[in-house]
Amino acid sequence: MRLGALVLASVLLMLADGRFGMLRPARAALADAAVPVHWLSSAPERLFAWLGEVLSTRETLLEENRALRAEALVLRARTQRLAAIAAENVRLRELLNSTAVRDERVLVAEIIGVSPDLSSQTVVIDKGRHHGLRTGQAVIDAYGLFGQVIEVGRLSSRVLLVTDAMHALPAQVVRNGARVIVEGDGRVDALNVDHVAATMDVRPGDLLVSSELEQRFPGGFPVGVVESVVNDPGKPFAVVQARPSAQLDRSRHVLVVTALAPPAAAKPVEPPDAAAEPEPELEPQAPVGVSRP
Amino acid sequence: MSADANQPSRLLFAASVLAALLGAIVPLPGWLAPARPDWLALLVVYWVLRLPHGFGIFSAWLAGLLMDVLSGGVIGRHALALAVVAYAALLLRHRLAHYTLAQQAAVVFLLCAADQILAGWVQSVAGHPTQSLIFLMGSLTAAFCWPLITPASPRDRSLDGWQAVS
Repeated sequence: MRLGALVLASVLLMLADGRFGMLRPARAALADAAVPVHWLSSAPERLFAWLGEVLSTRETLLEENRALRAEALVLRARTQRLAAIAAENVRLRELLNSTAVRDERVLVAEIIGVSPDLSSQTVVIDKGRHHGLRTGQAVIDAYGLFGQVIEVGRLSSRVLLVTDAMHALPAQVVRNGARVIVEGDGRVDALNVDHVAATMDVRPGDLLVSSELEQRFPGGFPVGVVESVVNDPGKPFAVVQARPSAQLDRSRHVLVVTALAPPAAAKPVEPPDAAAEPEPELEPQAPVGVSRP
Repeated sequence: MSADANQPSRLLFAASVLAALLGAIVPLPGWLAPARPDWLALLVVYWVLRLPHGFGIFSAWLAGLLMDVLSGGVIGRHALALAVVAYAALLLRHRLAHYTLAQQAAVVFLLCAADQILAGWVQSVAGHPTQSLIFLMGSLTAAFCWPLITPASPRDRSLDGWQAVS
């Protein structure tokens, strides 16, 4: 009967947490308590990284330094042109009377924990409410969209990856602007593109970028590259698979988009509301954003 | 088991649970992640067999709760699974003491699989369906780890005296 009591207690906890979300505040506090353990668990990795830095030879460092400087030069040169293009973009958008592209601020965070669960894909990062994080904020890495913040503690937060089975977001095909919904399906190297009509122009190799339609994700970040398009005449939609752009299983540092600064000379855009259930604005039958984890 | 012998083992329990939790969440490379042994279930089985009066269902439940907090899924799923595992191990402990190492490892595999299946089942009800049966790899590697930890006295001490007499 002790087992019975404990099973009952677990079931109640699961219901309270999973079904009714009553444990949200407790979870945030517990997440803080768990930070030292996460920190400890990632200590070996950090130690190796540190050893690699300390034990590398002068030549290696010089070589790396040279490569980085060359890369910085190339990137800076590209940014120069970007400034001009951005200014032109703003002018054109003003001519078209459309809202300006929002500027975003980012915060570097380090991944300190990875979900050990094979079926759910979340990571823990070392920044929290103290650093200005809120649920719903987008997370990117150097290569593309990484995920979004779902749980915020004081000094750490949990990030749901774009490939998690509970994650979906609106995206656009860069080549022709076609709107699609990209869903994770639980594998770390695959995304499903949902509700693609058989006649839609989507080809393997197409780049999908995030769209601002839902007002949760910043627009224009690479989400994935279409890998295969299978048209089955018996089905109403094509089966489209994509490979995520972000290095979901390799990145150690990610960027949290902390603020979408409102555009200066445009009509105000509602800030992304983290608490509200995200409203899909494309196909209403597909879940957009994150449903309750 | 006398009370004074239990006192120092409290700390040992806590330390071993912490170690198992660390082992359970330490990041592994992608190809190795499915083969991560189910350390926590292994530890629970080990302690229940070795000190059934010191480490019981409730301790296993607490350890599972800690795991839930760390792993970030639905709270209560590992707690439930580990309590069930501890209960099954308690029921089987006299029998296990007489099994050969291979038989023990097979039972440990079943117990760890029960833990993973229960936890995975709750998770899939919550919307994270498991992809394949590959998650049972963790139970398999845990079973292979069993002979490594069991020479450090796996059995109930009360049975040791009984064997010395026979």
